Amino acid sequence: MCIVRQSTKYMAIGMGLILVLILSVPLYAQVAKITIWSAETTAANRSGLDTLLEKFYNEHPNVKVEVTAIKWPDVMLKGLTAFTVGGEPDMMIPAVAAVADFWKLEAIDPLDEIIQQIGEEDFFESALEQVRYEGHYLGVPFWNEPSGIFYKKPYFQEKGLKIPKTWGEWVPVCEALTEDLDGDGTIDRYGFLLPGAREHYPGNVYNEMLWKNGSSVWTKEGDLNFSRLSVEALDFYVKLFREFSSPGSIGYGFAELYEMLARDEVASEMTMGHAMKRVIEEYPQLQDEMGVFPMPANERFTDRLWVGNAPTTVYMVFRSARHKEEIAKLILFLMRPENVAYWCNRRPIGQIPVTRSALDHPSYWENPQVKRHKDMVQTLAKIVEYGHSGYMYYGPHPYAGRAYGSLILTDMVQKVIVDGWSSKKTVEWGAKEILRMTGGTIKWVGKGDFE
Amino acid sequence: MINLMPRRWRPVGLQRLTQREAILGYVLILGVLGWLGFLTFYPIFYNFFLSFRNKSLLSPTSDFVGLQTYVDVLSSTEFWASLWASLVWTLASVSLQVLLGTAIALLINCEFRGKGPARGLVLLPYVIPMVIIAGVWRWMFNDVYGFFNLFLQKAGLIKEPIIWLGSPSLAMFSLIAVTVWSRFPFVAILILAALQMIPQDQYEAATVDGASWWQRFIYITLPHLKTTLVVITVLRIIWTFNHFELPFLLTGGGPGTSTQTYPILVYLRGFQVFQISYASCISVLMIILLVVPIILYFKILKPEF
Repeated sequence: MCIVRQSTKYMAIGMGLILVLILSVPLYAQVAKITIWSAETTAANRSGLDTLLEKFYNEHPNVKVEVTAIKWPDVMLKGLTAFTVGGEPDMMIPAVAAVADFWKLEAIDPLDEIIQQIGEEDFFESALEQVRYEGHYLGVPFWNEPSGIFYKKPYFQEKGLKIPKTWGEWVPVCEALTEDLDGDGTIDRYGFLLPGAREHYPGNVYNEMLWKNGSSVWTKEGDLNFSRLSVEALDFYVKLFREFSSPGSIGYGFAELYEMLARDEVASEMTMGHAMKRVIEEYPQLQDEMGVFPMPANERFTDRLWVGNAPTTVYMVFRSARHKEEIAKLILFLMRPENVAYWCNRRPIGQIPVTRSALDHPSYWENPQVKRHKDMVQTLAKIVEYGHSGYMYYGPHPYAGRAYGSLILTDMVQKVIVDGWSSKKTVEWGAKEILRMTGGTIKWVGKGDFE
Repeated sequence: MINLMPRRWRPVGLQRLTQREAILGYVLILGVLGWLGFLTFYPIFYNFFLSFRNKSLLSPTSDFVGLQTYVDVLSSTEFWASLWASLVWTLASVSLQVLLGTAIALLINCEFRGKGPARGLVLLPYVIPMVIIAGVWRWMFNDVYGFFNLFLQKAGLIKEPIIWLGSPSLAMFSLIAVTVWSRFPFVAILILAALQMIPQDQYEAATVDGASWWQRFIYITLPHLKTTLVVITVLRIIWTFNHFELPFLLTGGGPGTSTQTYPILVYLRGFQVFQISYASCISVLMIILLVVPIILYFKILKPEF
């Protein structure tokens, strides 16, 4: 009896609480809550976004934004899973490779109107190309994280070397920079460091070599483009690795790349602008010795000199989002030139605006590091202007996300370097893997080269 | 026999409780049990269900394909390569963990000055988070500026740097070494606890009878430790085989696929290529792989428990 009275009492309290919650819903409903999943999880970027949101709330007090951090590798997985179960956020800040996949699933809205309001002409065409698909803009790009060849200027000057523009010019430069400084028979400084760890970046570097050799993963029509040019590009990657890169770099990720450059163990390396952060923080006395140039192109394709790996980061809006008007206001606010400039400079040099108004905004160039390394930033900005993203030379591709996630290009690099496969066999293997991944829905256009 | 239980705690027959109280009790328990059961068993059964379909996260629908996914998995070289990598890593690292852990436990079971702090220090590798362990060891293994190569070169033991994480065989060796270093404390502490339970008079009697240290170890210590060793070994095999973080963080499964263990393969297939059914199939095969030898072990060897 005692237990029954007590349980009745607790049930009454519970019902009361539920009633209070239900009655308070109208109060919450007056505030438009926007949920964002952001892959920009670094402390600097997160605090930058928080600062901008505080300013946004001053202009729009009836809007609240809840930002959840997700890791870059988890963007597709979490986004797809959430969409499958109906738990997706209102917006996402993902890697641009993801947009076409979500579009094909009819998960996201086109953002043509927002782009028009900002002004198409303000964007770098390369940035818009990365989100333009089936006649729509699938996201609003706001910055780019380009890669380039970061090098130590003193070594170039010391040896009278010029910045190479072609593969033929590049090899002798790497050779000259690879040195046994103390004559003990072991190399003390490597001329050019290539990443090799089983992560995305080696695949990105090989992908860029495909572009520099007149090739790409997909054709403009969306078919598979592997050909003899892909074999040549892979041969060149392996040549550079075996002759001028540290053998251990087959296991190097970004952390090691940045450290080797900062420590002077290498004269040049293919990396992102974020490498400068490490140099500036840990070895500030070396920062003025650093320079950057775009990856050289094959002599036959010198028009692709500035076509670099320049993935853009975008705002993407899910179709199920409730407060679309407020979301549009938020994106337009964040895209104001001063705000783009501010957020880019949370990680200066590594993040370059993709709108001319932000890139030209005075506040962007007032950042001490951007000001100090103006030449470097201008070079990276030019790569942004002409660059492409990930495995998408011709723009978004519905299979780019999964091809990127599968590490297939990285595995191709490793098969040649680690397992000793020939480049031809490896490219054939890579082609078959991609065809299997795409369920036979695309053709292998370059197959004739292999038969 | 005197019943020392307080009157109110004596078990009462069902008929002593009112029917409502009894029903309420069951309702309160069933809710929690049901929820726990759902959280535990539903994922396992759903995993089995998915393994018979061709589900991809990139497609809203999937079809029943029977055993086709199993055929695809079992006929792929990637699966067998991962299985081999997992077996090599598991068996080598567990054997070494048990050997080293037992040796350390025997050592810290002896009486010596500083025994207390020594026992605490032994635990240190085990309490460090795996992310930190992977990060620090990765730096120590670096071929250019890593501690190991620096030490070996300064000592004149090597001329060329060793590519610890860049060569398939050395990468596996490095992975095994880090696993043993980080996990042997668990073995050591459990063995130490078991050693404390061995009656000392048996050692005294054996010493009086002229038994050597080795004979005391073989005929007294080892038989007492047998049960603990079996349990630890079985558990460590299961936990190591299932372990994802260390290989993923230290080598990423590379170079090539030389350290691509089973859990990494499941992760890549399921969460990077989004082939959910394929990944589920591999998981089911993993369960079978782990359950069958354990059952066989208990049936055939019939250890004394």
